[in-house]
Amino acid sequence: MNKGNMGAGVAVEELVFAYEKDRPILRGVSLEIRPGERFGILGPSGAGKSTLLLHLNGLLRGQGRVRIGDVVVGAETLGEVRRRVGLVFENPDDQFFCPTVEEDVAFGPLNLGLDREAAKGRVREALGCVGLAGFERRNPRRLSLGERKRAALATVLAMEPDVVAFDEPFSNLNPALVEALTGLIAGLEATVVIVSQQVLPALSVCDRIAVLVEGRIVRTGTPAEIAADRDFLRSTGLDFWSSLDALRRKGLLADGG
Amino acid sequence: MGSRPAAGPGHEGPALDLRLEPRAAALEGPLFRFDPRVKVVTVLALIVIVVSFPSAAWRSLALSLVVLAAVAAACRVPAREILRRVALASPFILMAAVMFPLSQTGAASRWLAPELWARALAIALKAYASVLALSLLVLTERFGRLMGAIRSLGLPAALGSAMAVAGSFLGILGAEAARMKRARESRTPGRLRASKVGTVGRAAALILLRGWDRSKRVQAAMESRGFTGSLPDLDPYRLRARDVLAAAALLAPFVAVRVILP
Repeated sequence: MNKGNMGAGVAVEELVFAYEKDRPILRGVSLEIRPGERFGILGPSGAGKSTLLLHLNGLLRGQGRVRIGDVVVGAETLGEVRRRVGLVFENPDDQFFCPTVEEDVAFGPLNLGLDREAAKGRVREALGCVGLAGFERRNPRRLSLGERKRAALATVLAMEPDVVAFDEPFSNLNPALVEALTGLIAGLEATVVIVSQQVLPALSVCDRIAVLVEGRIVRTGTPAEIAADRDFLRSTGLDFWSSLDALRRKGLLADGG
Repeated sequence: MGSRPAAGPGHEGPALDLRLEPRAAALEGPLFRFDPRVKVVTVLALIVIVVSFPSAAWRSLALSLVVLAAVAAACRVPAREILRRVALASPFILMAAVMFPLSQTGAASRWLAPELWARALAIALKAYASVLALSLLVLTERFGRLMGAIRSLGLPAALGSAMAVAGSFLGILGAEAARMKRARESRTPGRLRASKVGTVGRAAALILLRGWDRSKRVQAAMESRGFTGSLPDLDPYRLRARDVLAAAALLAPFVAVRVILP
């Protein structure tokens, strides 16, 4: 999909947002994501990760500035922003509202103003890209969870976005499905933003990681830098090493493994 | 990714079957292949014709029901689905029919007059014929296409989209009800007793709240893909001569009977 597209950069500047007055969820978030980068936003539950993600597509608009390439997210640029940024929601069932996979995947391209034949072409290409060729006439709600996750991704890829933003893409997936999904994400020709509490798959697929805690970015670095600072991981509730230690104690993992 | 994990949220049973999409079996019959606009117009015309039958023509009305049932059978529309809809409508139909003679004023014994009960029977037969015709329509067309057809026949786009979105909301409510039923059953041996009316009431309120919450997420997903209020149709409607001929063939005997009747 989107051959030759390296994606657009994303810039968030001093973003502040609150669902309820005096209880800000985002407290001055700033970050810069380069075109074509795979960027992970990790953090404990309630840190504001999903809220931040919704700002990239203009579904939420707080104080501060969000820029996608050269377009500043605002009321007057929403159409362009939604063409550029595709959101893949945590629960794939939230993404489906049509009776067939084909109609659901075509919904975005048709809203972009493509004619029916062009939209169908996009559908075929997007479904092929996620390994669901031939699923056009299937009911999306009757697919397995792994298939639904891929179909949800296809609904976004069909719009050929510059930025694909995933909200908790690895939740509820078994290891094989996680591996397949990380492979798909790694192959996307777009800027990728991943919000996740699943540290290991995010570390494996992302070029850079930011850690969001209580509405603030507290650390940005490469996966190696983040993974190496165990005290920091422990303090943010993201210490994946403790699971490995438990395996070592049971003799299931060799020391140094 | 190709493996098939355990049933997820998309696999709920029909705890509260608010699904508006017809079963796959109904979508394989010959009626599904007709232009949905022709089906909408035909069914509306059929209802108008049947409702205009004189009340004394209960035999013709009964024959109408037989004809519609035969069409359903010939077109492989699942009888069970039709009967389910007829059963749902029956309390309202029967109440309306029975209330007609009982509500007549005059001498105390007038409500026993045979002509009043003949009219009551006609009311019931007309209503059943209408339900049967509408069942044929909704069971042989996808809900989204049906809404699209109604829009293309002149229904304001905003109203058509609102109906389509309301249809999706019913589906969401059904899915939430199925989830809740499963959760309750896992902790409740046997059926919920009638004495637990409060529990049922709280569950209904919770279903509405959860449905509302989920519908907001669905709306966000739609908006993130450029939804601005109108639902585009992927497949164009094709008006073919055979569709019009088939509709005319179906309507012709009803029109003929109506013309012959006084």
